[in-house]
Amino acid sequence: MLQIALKMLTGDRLKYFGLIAGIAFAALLIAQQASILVGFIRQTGGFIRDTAQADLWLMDPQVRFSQDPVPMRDTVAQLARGVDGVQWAVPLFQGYTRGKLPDGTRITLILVGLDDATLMGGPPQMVQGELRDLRNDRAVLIDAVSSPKKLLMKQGGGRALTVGDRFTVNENEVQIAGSYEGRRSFFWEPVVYTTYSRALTLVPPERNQLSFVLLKLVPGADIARVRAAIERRTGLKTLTNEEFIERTGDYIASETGIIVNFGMAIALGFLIGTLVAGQTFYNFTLDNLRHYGALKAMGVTDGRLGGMVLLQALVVAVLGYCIGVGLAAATGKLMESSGLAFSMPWQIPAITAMAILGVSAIAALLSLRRVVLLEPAVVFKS
Amino acid sequence: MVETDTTAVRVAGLTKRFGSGEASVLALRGVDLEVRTGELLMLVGPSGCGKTTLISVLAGIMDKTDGALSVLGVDPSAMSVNDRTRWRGEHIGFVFQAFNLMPALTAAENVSIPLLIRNVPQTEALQRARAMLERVELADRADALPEQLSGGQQQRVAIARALVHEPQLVVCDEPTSSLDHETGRHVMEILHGMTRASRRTLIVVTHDARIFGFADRIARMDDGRVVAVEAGAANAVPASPTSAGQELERGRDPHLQVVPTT
Repeated sequence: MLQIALKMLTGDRLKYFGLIAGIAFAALLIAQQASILVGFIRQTGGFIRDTAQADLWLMDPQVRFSQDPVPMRDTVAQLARGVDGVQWAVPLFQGYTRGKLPDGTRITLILVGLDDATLMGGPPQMVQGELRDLRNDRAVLIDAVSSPKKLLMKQGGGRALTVGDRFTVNENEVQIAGSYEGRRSFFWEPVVYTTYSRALTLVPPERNQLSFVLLKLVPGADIARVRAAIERRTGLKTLTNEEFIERTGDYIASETGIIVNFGMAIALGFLIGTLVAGQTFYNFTLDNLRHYGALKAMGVTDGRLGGMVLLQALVVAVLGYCIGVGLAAATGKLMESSGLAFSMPWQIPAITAMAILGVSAIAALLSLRRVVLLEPAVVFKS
Repeated sequence: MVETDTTAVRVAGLTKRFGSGEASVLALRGVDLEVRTGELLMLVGPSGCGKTTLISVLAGIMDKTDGALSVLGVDPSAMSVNDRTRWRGEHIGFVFQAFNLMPALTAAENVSIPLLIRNVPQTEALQRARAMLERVELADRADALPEQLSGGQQQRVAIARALVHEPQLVVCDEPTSSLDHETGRHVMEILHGMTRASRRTLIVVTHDARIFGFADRIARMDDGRVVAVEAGAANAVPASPTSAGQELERGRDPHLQVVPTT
C-alpha cells in the first residue's frame, strides 16, 4: 500500500514538483536567512579572533562588545603581570578615530595599538611586510582583504591605499608598512594596527587610554584561580576569547535588532513554506479524496490511509529539505567571495529539518483530517 | 422469513436517517429484502429513492439507523469501524459508476489493490491481477494506465478489481451508465459470467433497462422502500436487448415479472 501511496504522489508530476518546490522554498529561506544571521554574529568576533594569541582579556566590567572599550589606568597591566600564573600581560589600545586619505577622502577607522616591546595581539597572518615593521617610523598595518573597499580614494581615481602609501590619522601622518589578512568583520570601519605608544600620539589625549590588557597564562596554570586573582587585584573583568566573542555577539544580536529582522525573515520562510506546502498538499489530498474513498470502501483502514498520507508528506519533506538546504549551502558558497556573511553550522540544517518536518506534519495532518472524516460512500457519487 | 445458508443478504424493517431533528431525512423507510447466495439482484427505481443508500448499508460503508440486517451472516453495522473496514476488504467487491481507478497505477496494479489490502505479497498480487485481467479479456492492456483505456476497458478493470480477492458479495453502482449499449452489455456479460460461475452474490443498482435481462430478480424501490420484487429475465424467457429497449420506450420494463417478496 505504501508503494501505491508513492505512485499516487508522483503520478501527477506538476503537483508533485509543486509540493517539493514549496517545501524547498521554505527550507531555502529558513536555512539561508539563519546562516546569514549566524555569519553576521560570527563576524562580530573577527577582531577578537585576529588578536587571539592571548588566553584572557582584561577589561572594564562595563565593556559590552569588542569595539566598546572603557578606558582603564595604564597601571592595570602591571597589576595583572604580578599575579601568580600570568606569563605575560600587555596593553592594547583600541578606538575609533578619524583619518584622511591622500586624495582628501575622509574615513573613520578603528585604530589598534600593540605593545611596543612584544607586538602581542597583532594580526596572525601577514600578507605584505612583517609585524615588526610597525617599529618603523610612523608605521601602520592595513587589512589587505578589506582595504580595496574600505581604504578607497574615492576622490582621486578610485585607487585603494597600498603598502608604502601615506595618509593621516587625526592630522598626523602615518605610512603603511605592511598588510595583514584580516577576517571579515561585522563592523564596517577598517582596522589599522600600529604600536601602543604611537596610537596614543595619534588620538586625542585622555586621562586613561588603555583599552584592554591581553594576558597569557603559564602552561598548566589553573585558569579559574588566575582569573579570580586578577579580578580581585584589579577590580576588573577577565574574559576568554570565546567568552568575549560570545559577549560581543550577544550584544549585537540583542541591541541592533538583527535577530528580529532575520527572525522575521526566517518566520516568513516558515509561514510561506507552510502555506504553500500546506495548501498544495491539501489540494493534492482533496484531488485524491475520491481515490482515498475508494480505498476506504475496499477495506483500507484509517490507520493505513494515515500511513499513506504521512509517507507522502515525508517523501516531499525529505526531498524539499535536501533541495532547499542544498541550494542555501550552494548560494553561500557561491557568494563567499562577495563578502556575504554566511555560516552554516550543523545546528542550522538540524533546525531547518525540524521546521520542515513541522511544516510537512501540519500539511499532512490537515489533509489527514479530511481523509479520516471521509465517508466512503462518496465513491457511489458519480 | 427464515435465514438459510442460501441467503446472502437479509434485511427487515431497515431504516437509514441522515441528519437529526427537523432537518433529518429518512432515506430508507423500512426496507424488507432478501438476496439469495449466487443471485444477481438488480435494484431499480427513481433517483433519490434510496438505492445507493441501501447498497451502502449492505456493503458496510454506511451505518443503518434501525432494523434487522444480516449480510453474509453478520450485521456490519454492529462492528467497530476498523472491523467493518476489514470485513469489507475480505468479503465485499465494489464496481463503481465512475470506475474509480487510480490514475497513476497500471491496470494490473489497480486490480492488485484488494489483494495488497489483504497483505498478499506484491509479486503474487500482481500475478493474480494479471490472471484476472486475462479473464476480463484485458491481458494485453495490463500495463496500460487508466487514461489509456476506453470506458468499457476501464470498467472491465474495475470488475477484475472487484473480483480478484474472491469476495462473496459484489455491489455495483450503475456499472453501465457511463458506457454505450454494446459496451455496457459486454461488461455485464463478463460480470455476470464471472460471478455466476463462482456463485457470488451480485447486487446491481441501475437505471439501465438494457441490462435488466441479466437479473435473476429485480427489486423496485420507491420512497425509501422496496415496493416490489420481480423475477428478472434470467429467470424467465430470454429477451433480446433490442426488444427490451422497444418495450422500455413504450413505458414498461419488458423483463419484469412480479413475484411476491420472500
